[in-house]
Amino acid sequence: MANALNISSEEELLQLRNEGKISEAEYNDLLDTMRKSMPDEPEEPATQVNKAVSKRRLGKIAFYLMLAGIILPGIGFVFSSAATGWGEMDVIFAACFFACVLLQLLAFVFGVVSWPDVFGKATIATILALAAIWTLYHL
Amino acid sequence: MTYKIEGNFSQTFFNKLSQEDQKFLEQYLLAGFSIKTLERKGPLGYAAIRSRLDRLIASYDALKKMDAQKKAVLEQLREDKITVVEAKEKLEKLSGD
Repeated sequence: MANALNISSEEELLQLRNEGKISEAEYNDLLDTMRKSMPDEPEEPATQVNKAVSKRRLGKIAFYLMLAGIILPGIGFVFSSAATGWGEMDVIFAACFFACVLLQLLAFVFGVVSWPDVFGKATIATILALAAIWTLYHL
Repeated sequence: MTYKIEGNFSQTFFNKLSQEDQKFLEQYLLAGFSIKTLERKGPLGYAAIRSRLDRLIASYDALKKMDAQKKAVLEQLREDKITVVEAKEKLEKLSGD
């Protein structure tokens, strides 16, 4: 049930006209004025969407860097060691490990920047898990 | 067949929201008012949806506040404290004109 508290200003104006307080012409005039009166828009959603899209993009970059940091050194290690023989294993392993750490660090930075995007979170969680496994293995 | 309806109709606050906000509100409703569901259905991430929701709330709140100001002016008109011309001027000032 409508009462004075929950009716809108337009309904209030309509009541004024129905009660004869204002004429039809005055009603239309005031209604036009009222419909032109709109509050200032808050920040444009496009700006916010762009921010989110750029975070998503950074998150995906972080995620793919993290995957590349696992897969590429692994593939590189297998192919290089097969081509050069087992004599240079230590050098190849060190190079691949260095590449892996570098890519993971880069991915971690992108993951932090893209936070709280889901890809960024997944990247950071995976890197931390890998670091934890590595640490536990070498203790 | 086309019908022409004449009369005095008042707009709800929802009608006054921008098309973009109305569309977002509809999507949010269809997602059962769940940001997680909306995130799964669309291209936007949680942060983007949350910020759009905050913006929608701010828009709705601003509309309600402005409506209260308009009602206050109309109340003065009802009580014959101001004339129609003065009421119009006050309403125009609300829009910043």
